[in-house]
Amino acid sequence: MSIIKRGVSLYSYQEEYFLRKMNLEDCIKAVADMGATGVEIIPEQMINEYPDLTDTFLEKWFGWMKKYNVVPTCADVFLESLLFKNRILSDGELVDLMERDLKVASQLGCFVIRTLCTTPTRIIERSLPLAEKYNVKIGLEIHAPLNLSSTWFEPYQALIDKYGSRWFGIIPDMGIFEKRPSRIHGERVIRDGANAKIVSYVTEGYMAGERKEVVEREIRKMGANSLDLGWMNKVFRTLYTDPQVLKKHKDSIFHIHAKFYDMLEDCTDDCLDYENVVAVLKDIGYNGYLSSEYEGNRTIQDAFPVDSVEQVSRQHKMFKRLLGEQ
Amino acid sequence: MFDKYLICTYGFRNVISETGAIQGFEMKIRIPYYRGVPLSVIDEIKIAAGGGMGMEPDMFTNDRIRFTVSGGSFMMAEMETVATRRWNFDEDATLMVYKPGGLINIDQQVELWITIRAPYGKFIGHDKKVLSLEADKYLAAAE
Repeated sequence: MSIIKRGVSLYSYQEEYFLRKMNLEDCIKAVADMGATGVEIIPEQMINEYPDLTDTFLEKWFGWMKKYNVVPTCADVFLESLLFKNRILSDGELVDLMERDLKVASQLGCFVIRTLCTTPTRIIERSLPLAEKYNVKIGLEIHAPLNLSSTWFEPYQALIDKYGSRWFGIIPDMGIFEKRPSRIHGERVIRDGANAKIVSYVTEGYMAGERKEVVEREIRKMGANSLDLGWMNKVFRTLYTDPQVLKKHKDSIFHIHAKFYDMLEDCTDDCLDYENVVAVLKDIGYNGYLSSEYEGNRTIQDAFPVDSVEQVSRQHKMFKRLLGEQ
Repeated sequence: MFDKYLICTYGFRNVISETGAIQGFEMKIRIPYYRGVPLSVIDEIKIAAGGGMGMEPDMFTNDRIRFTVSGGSFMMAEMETVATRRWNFDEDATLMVYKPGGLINIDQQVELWITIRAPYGKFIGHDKKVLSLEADKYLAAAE
């Protein structure tokens, strides 16, 4: 049995929460119902008191953790640098916001905050003593289209080289391991007005290794509209990172955002390379969480009822299989 | 995202001020984003309403819109500096659109655009619905 643990970011249940069909406790229960143990939360999504969490709320929160036998994992936070329209927040103000969010995460019992890839290294550097003060790590989300192996990541790697990875590390988002476009994205762009023939031509061309310029020339001849061209741009921006790259970063992977768009009925994901990524994670001795992030709702909600609980449940069946759980 | 839920199908009505004049109309919206936000990052709201029967709709922009949530009530221009009050993810916001005389036809096509300034780019929500005016809302006379 693997030491890798299963969790869910409550972000996955956003559709039901938004429509007031599930409340916070319902979301936590849904995690426990699958035998998963990790609860990740976006405080700004499901805790209206944010950023001033009351004792009353925290009592309820830890009561639920105990009742459902789950533990808090990651708190996803947003450094609101564009809080005001007339300026970008100053460094001091940004560090204040980092401290505020580290404190909230600490109050919730989370071991790490997810910070966005737009957070400057100098802000993270100044926040390291605060991470230690609140005993909460800072995890930089590695999110498509940004590439772990590109120059974008170098200053962050330099921070890890300088300070080690006790308080600063990475949270890879599975969207960086995209083998092929998800069928639901193609279907949606067609509902929005793209041409079905052109959409499949583009997808097939990408999978066959055609050059973008060649595909563009062809689809323009086919009468491509702006949505067709948009689809082409999206498909040719698909990011597939070699899962082996994770080996280089094995000491700084705090958490995994198990992003997915659409689980098939047979509980497989034909878009994202879970098979190979989980194999590498096992290899490097990763003992953290795979934290589900269902993101298909926004793509299908225009035309279909959304069942996030079912989708996440299918993904966890896949995890159980990949992790050798009975 | 969540655009199809942006304009609520309820809460659409003309508003009668304390003096008895129809000062405009009210509608409710939900946030087209996956988290709640501080009010200051709501950049812009544009509403098209009052058209029909061959007439073009009127366009209403920030200067004629008041935004109300549980955290407070502000004209859009005032809201630029409201950093400590939020529009919650699960919360209806009430928009008061100041248009003397209000809307005439019971059934209205209402179209709305809203821009939210996230740290990594602007999110634009857009929705268009046919709404029916409910009973007028009367504002209480000042004490």
